[in-house]
Amino acid sequence: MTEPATPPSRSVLPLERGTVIFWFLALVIVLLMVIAISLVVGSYPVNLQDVLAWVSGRGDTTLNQIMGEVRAPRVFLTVVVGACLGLAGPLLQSSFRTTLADPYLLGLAGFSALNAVLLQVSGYAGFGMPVLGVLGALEAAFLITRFTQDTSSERRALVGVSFASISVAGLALLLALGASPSSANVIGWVVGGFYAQGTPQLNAMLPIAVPAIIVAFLLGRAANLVQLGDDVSQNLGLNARVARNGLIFLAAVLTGVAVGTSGLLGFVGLIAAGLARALLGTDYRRLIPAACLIGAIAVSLSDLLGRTLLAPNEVPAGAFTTLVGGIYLTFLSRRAQ
Amino acid sequence: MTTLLEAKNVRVRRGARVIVEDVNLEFKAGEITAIIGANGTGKTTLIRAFAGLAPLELHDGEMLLEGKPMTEFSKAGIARRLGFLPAHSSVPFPLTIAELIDQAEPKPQARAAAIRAMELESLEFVPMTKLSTGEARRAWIAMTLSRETKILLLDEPLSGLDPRYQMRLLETLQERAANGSSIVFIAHDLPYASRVDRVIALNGAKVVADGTPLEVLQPQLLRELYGVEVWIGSEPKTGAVFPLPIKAV
Repeated sequence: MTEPATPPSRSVLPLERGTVIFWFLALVIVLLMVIAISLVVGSYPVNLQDVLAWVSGRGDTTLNQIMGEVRAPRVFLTVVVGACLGLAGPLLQSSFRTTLADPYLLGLAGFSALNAVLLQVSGYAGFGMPVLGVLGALEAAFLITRFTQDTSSERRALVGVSFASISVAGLALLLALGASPSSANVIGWVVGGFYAQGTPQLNAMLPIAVPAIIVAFLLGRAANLVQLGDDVSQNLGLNARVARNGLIFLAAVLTGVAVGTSGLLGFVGLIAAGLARALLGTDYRRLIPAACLIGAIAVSLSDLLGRTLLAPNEVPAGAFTTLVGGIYLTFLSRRAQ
Repeated sequence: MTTLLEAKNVRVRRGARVIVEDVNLEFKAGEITAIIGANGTGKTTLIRAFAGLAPLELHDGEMLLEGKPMTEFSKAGIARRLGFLPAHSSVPFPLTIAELIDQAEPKPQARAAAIRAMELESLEFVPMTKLSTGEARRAWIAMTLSRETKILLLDEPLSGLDPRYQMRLLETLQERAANGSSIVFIAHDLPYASRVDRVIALNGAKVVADGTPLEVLQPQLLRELYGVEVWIGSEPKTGAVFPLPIKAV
């Protein structure tokens, strides 16, 4: 007689403290490596010694100019934009209660880009693009929360998806009507990137991005409760609706400031949250900082690849994130079945 | 016995539609109450209103928690006193049972007792997404029990549980009541509704009966409530009644 097969264990043991520290250190090291390589690689040849010389203030004028005014600001811009988009992922996944929530899929990013382009062509660009982007994403967040009060998270997500489609249609319409000063400008918003960007964009986004990132880091416990649904989270002492909407609006600010700077970089939030969950489990107190690091790595790496693979031509970073994210989404949907 | 929760002339509306009205009820420490009634008679709305979850702008009347208006308590203040189990809870992320229960930040002893009560020891590290309906239900119940609140409001806690866990839960609730908790739950299984101290029947958005199981669980009333013919058995030792639905009428 054969022994009955033991059913495979369904248990997932909690991560050891050491494993958590290992993954965070690994993410920080990978990010630093991508930053270092991004600083070195480019049309003007620079080696690691030059970078160190520039950091310590011993570089020559040309080096200082290249590094300080062109390369470093662009690299740091990709890091901050990626961090913002990465953070938006887990915040939206908790509030919409699905691993498929993402600022790009839910229309926050699309509205942000549409708003930025619309106001830009209307001559209101004086506010600064990140502010216009934030306003657009906040409009989408407001509409999603306003029109979907007391409904299921699935319906909220569905409304978001329709916003994403509307915004892309709007951008296509602007492109067709030639309403933009240049059509290429609109394409630049649809497939975002960092071509010729640097210090001015960094200076414009940091006053919004830094406080938003800090607030996001403080919301791990709230996100943990919000994911349980309104009735349970409220009964655990949270002001459920305020907390849920707060997460959505913060994600909108983070998305808007990023999209207003770089245009649409698809699926960064989805990739960051998914990978963070795979490495570090489900606790949002870890997921949020991990998604921030992964978002930063994803976008800075995409920009690095974009400006080196087909040099001297540049592939916008958004092409890479959207391609990888799209494949990942297909994989996620297949697994969800 | 101390009154822990009280409704005075409470009416809850959804839009223009009145879901429950003329509710005047007191729930005391040491008492287990079952709420019965057909589908759509407002049981869930009533229990959510007692948990402070129905939108306040739709309330008329007054809800008192430990003798003070519920509106005077913070959300955290209500959470410390009152545990609520929704009829349907789900979490679409692979949290383990341990992680789910820890969201309630229970004391270690209370946490262990809740896991023991629902016999979840061997499932503690299984993700919620990999559990059967009944197992997931036990996890949510354990989370609610682990908080050791003086008041427990449970929406159909016995649904989805097999008879062993139904009995385990009833026994746990009886222990809690003996230690001074007030427990209110919605029950569709009439035999279980007979094993409590008090039964409240809802019909047509109103409380139509409130008394001991022996007083309330009568064939005529159950016929009016559910449109079923009921056979009433009794347990020889205790004299407890056991209504058993026989056919729809």
